[in-house]
Amino acid sequence: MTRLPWRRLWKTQRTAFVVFLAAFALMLFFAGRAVFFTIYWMDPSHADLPIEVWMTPGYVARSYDVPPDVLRPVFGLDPDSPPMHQNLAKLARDMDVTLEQLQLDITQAVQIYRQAAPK
Amino acid sequence: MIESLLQSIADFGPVLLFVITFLSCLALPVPSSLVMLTGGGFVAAGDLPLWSTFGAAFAGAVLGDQIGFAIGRLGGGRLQTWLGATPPRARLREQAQALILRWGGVGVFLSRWLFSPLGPYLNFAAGASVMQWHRFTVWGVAGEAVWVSLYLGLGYMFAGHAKELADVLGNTSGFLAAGVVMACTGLWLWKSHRKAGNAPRG
Repeated sequence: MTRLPWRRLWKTQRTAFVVFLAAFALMLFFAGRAVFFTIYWMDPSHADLPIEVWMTPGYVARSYDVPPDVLRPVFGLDPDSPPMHQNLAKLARDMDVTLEQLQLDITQAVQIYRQAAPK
Repeated sequence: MIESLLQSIADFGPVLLFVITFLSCLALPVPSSLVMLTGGGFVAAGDLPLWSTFGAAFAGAVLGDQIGFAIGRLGGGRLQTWLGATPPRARLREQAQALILRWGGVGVFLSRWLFSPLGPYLNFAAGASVMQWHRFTVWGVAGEAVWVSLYLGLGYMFAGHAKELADVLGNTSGFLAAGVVMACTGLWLWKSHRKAGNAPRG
């Protein structure tokens, strides 16, 4: 039976050996995290994400899978006006409402649309 | 920090993507994947123009690669001298150079988008080594085109889910990069083991 080479590698190739082990550990670490996030985000209960300040109305509509027009009334716009490219932080400032209020209004508009829309 | 960075995408648009991809090629810790995926989502939502967003991200990445290469070349002389100082180091240098001549181009290409955490370090290494500038540039530009298309494209396809996608992709590319490092050092150790095994035991 041949002796395991670990001892000799540790003695003669220490740097490469340490890098090898560290890379192995990192590989396991990232594999675990990649699998965790894949499973976590595939769970339907995690589908609706919180509405955040950096999002634009169009991005929120994509995120919640509703037509962009659904959110227009929240911003006091009619269907013919041009789309808003600013993020929610700026829109809330311009409208002089709190961000929490804006988030609440958007969530409500989405809910109303979903209840009315055929599945 | 990340919130305000993402907030700047809508404010500054393509310019921000240029800066972020540029910095990420120099090994600076910026969340370039997340910004690219979000940018793709904003393009899908009609909030950013497609071509100038693509162009800015691509230009930033290519320029960042070039600066990384130039830094490596400037500091490379000293490294070459250090490596030439003793016979074992000189042997290491020869082996590394042979490896770069054979695999350098493909390595640069794949480290742009598949093993992306290794990308910036390969820029420095390629600059410090014998790799010709035009070879680095051709493979690098091709790789960056894939990276920008891939990340903006995925961001576009999965618009509205940039953060989740960044979690999955970031860890997957970390896994792949660690795998490459493990495979390379494993091969090195295995060769050294085999060589030692053939030598008479003392």
